[in-house]
Amino acid sequence: MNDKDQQRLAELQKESRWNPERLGRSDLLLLLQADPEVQEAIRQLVADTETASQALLPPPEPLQAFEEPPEYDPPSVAPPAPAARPAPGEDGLHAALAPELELLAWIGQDRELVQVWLGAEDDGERRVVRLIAVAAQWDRLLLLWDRLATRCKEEARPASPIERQILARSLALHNLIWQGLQASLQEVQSGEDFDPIRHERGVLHGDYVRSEWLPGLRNAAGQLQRKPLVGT
Amino acid sequence: MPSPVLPVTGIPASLYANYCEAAAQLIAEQLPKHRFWHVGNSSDKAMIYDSVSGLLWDAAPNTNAAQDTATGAKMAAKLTLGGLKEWRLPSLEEIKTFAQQAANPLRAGSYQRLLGAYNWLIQGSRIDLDNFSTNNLQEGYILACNDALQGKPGTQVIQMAVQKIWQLRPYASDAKALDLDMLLEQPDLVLLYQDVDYLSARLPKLDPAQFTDPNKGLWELWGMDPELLARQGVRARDPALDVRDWNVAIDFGTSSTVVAYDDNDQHKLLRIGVGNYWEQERPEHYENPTLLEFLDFPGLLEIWQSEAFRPGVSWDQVRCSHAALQNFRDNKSNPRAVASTLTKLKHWALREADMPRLRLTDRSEPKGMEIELPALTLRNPVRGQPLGVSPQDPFDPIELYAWFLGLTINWRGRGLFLRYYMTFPVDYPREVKDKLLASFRRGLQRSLPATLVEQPIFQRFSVEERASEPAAYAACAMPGLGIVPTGEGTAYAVFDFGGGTTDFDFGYYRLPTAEEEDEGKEEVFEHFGSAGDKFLGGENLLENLAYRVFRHNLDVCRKSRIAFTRPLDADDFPGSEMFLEQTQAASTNTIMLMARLRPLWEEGQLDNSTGIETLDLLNRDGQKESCQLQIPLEELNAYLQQRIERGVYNFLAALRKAFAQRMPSSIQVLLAGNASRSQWVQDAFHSLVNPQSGEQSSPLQQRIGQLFASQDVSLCIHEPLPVNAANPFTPTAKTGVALGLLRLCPGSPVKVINRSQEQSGDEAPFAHYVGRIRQGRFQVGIAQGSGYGPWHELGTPSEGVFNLYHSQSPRAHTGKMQQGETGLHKQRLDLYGNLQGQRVFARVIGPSTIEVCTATSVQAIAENELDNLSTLNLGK
Repeated sequence: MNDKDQQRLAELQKESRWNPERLGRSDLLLLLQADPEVQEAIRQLVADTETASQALLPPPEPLQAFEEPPEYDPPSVAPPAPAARPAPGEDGLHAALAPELELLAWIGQDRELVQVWLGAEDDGERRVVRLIAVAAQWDRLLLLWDRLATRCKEEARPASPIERQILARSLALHNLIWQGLQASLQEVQSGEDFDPIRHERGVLHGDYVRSEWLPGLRNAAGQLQRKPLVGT
Repeated sequence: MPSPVLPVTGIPASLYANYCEAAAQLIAEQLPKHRFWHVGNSSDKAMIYDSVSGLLWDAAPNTNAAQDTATGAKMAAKLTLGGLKEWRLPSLEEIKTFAQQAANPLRAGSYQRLLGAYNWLIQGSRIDLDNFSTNNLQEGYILACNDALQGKPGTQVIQMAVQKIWQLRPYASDAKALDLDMLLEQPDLVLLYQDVDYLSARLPKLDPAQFTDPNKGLWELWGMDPELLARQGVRARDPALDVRDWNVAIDFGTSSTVVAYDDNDQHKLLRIGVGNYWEQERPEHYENPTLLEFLDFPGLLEIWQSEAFRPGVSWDQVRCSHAALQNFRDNKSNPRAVASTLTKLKHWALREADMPRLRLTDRSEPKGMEIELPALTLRNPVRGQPLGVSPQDPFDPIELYAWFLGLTINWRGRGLFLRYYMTFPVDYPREVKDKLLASFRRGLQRSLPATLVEQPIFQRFSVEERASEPAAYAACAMPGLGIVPTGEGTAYAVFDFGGGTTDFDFGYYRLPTAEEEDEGKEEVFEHFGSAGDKFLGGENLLENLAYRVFRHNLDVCRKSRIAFTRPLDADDFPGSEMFLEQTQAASTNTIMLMARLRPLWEEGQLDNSTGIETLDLLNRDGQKESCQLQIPLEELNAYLQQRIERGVYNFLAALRKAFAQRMPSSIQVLLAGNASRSQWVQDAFHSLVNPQSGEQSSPLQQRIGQLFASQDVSLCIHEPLPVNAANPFTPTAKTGVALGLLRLCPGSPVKVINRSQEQSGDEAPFAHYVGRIRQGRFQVGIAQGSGYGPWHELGTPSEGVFNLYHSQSPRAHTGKMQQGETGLHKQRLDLYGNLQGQRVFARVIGPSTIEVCTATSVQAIAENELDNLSTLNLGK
């Protein structure tokens, strides 16, 4: 976060309660990115949304095909997200699928991603299955990255925490198909000189990396297939 | 910011403007640190500058006499403070915000009173600052404000302060006034020049020693007032001392350009526009992409057309080579990025004046500025006269690209170079080569410091053509492969498969004659019979692959209203008018799909093995549509195999024709160009040297067997020179051309004789086959490489019309090219007069130009008894 953003954040946190003003999109994104209170409120909102969506799901099918649900290996690259807790008495499948349900809830708030990843045909648990099937494919992950990067560039902003979570959680799903080798996010440090061979520009100008807008993607063979998108 | 007046002669105006901008920026960073600034000078009433709202306020309003609203408004409008007019009463919100700030220097008294007073005039009313109530019937004091600085960036605030001779001091007891002296005095030369190389080409910034070390100093300061230099502790350097009398070779390619130079007999390569020159060198860095990315045309043109030498064009206005390519690839789905990038720079040079102009749109907001590129014109600098520029100059992107190359070549850490040699494809007309050479002469000359151009040594500056591309490659590869020249000559053939076209060249590598030996020559490349396959280029193949994939997915394209482009050598299809377009969206779609298919061409397989590629394509409204395209892998593989086999067959047909008079028993075949690394090419050539007999032989082998039916010739295939990661200067299939060119520079023991060029009077050989259709097949009347001048009979007109056919495909030479075949072009000639007993004749007058007439015989033409004389350009 640059000095200007820090200053603005301080103003929003300090003054807005005394001197109400109209907040812009950048203000909202800034608060979402850096204000602990707002972040907590969003987490709560997500948890509530998911609980509500689970409540609407039909009762789970008998677990004949899933006698031993696959263990979920938390991604090393994904920040620990608050997993939705199964309701008391809810079966183990929902508990095992908690990260995927959470991912589904995040994507559910994103109309564009819903359209291209989930489609309109499925509902309920079939959506989770479709989500897992789609996210596991590397080329769809690249396409997801492209979509998020295009948004960031068009709106001249870093990826939101939710967008980053979607990318990281989808990558974790993809990594389930590998044993040993893992695809990973490629991160970048602020302050580096901008290098067109290692970084992708978020804006047209600038010679050093002010901030990472979206981490890049390395495939399981370690090849950099999407450079980190950076603000310069 | 308006252009400031130059305080020291010899400083480029754009550089000084940048300096002022940077200095103003530096000073302006202080502004946000304090909300309120005292603004004034010694002779005028002071003002207050609010750095948040941007408003200027009267710092000493009169609180002795209250006024009514109307009078107050008139009095405010008549004010002149700090040299500014157009003062006014504030709005309610403006004064409220102003008064609420605790740091406001006018705050005095209770509540939010200013100077102890609560009653102040606002627009159309009066405000009570104790409770912010308004009353338009009561009187108040005048506190005028001014919008001159509102919404302006800090640099413009500082600039105005300099212009108006203001001083800005924060309202804090211990704070100092802003130091504006650096904008008022002679510029700090270190600050002025420290980014001079970085500014235009992102070459390293200058370190302090560059200015002070006795063995360094700046070329740009040469000739400046010594007292000024001594006062600032900086040194000038005579650029003539840094002239390196070494050769520079430039292989200006369709996809990439290679620059090689001779450093005391060590042949080295240069990287252009990598962005970070500290990065570890890799072989691919030396294949500099031939493209330009335009970000700000107006800014670029203003400087480019006003400063002749080392103009202060900024990297933020135009970028080149690696940086431009990376940005292009990173944004290939963005039509604006595609429209702002000139990728086919070399192809542009081939466009003629009557062809539609190429359009580019820069990235300026909101929509970008569009410019049309006129056709390239010949504009040679005049020897002995300083090169001039003006806003009337046609914009020449090749000159600009050459300037970028020159900035890197003539970097101050390396020295200054005056002798440049270039190479061209064998079939480029003399006119095109002359125009390209002129553009490079201008661009390279403009990369030299102005202080060198004024000196006698500059007379050595030259940019000359030297050998064709395949000849230069042969000169590099043959010795490297251990092939030695012989007395009778070792026959060789070059298959140079690049991004744009494939060039063929044939010749002998031999020992010199006694006469040549007296000239100091030790080895001779005598080449002739050059030809080529115009559409066999890596990028063209990729475009054809994309075209086939789109055609395979017409239902998807129809449903989502997706348009795409057609390669020049591809056929259209029924209903294609709904899909084929020349719009930015169609080009972007093709480019996106080409990028996805590139691994298939370069590595033999796609990254994704599902058989489906999902892309966000642009529909006719410019909106993105997620499309899943089926990849017809077998069809694509079959296309690549057939197209490359056809290219190889064309090569061998040209080879047979070139060596027709004396077919050698063995020919060394050199595969050159990056595209020759493709497995398809390797397979096609290896099948020639390991032929299978009888029924097992492939169609290519059978056709080649027929081609060489009565001749026994063995081909020794040499794979493209490999990349050596440990030594990037080792010649490769691509860099071998530029490195080979260095071997052919004047003074070297290697001689090149171009027989084809000699026959055509220094012009490129005739590039076409011309004739008519007979029995459904193309019958050649004038062959590729035919001499200039003699008339050839083509056929008889029918009902006043003669259908002339022409082709550049070497297949034409075999007599098996069929009517309607791709690559065979028909041109109708309407003939007039009494045609009884008349025949159509033609003769070569240029590489792609013929003269046509009707006459009874060649003898009649010689006696000037001819009709219907006209000129045909076959290159259109």
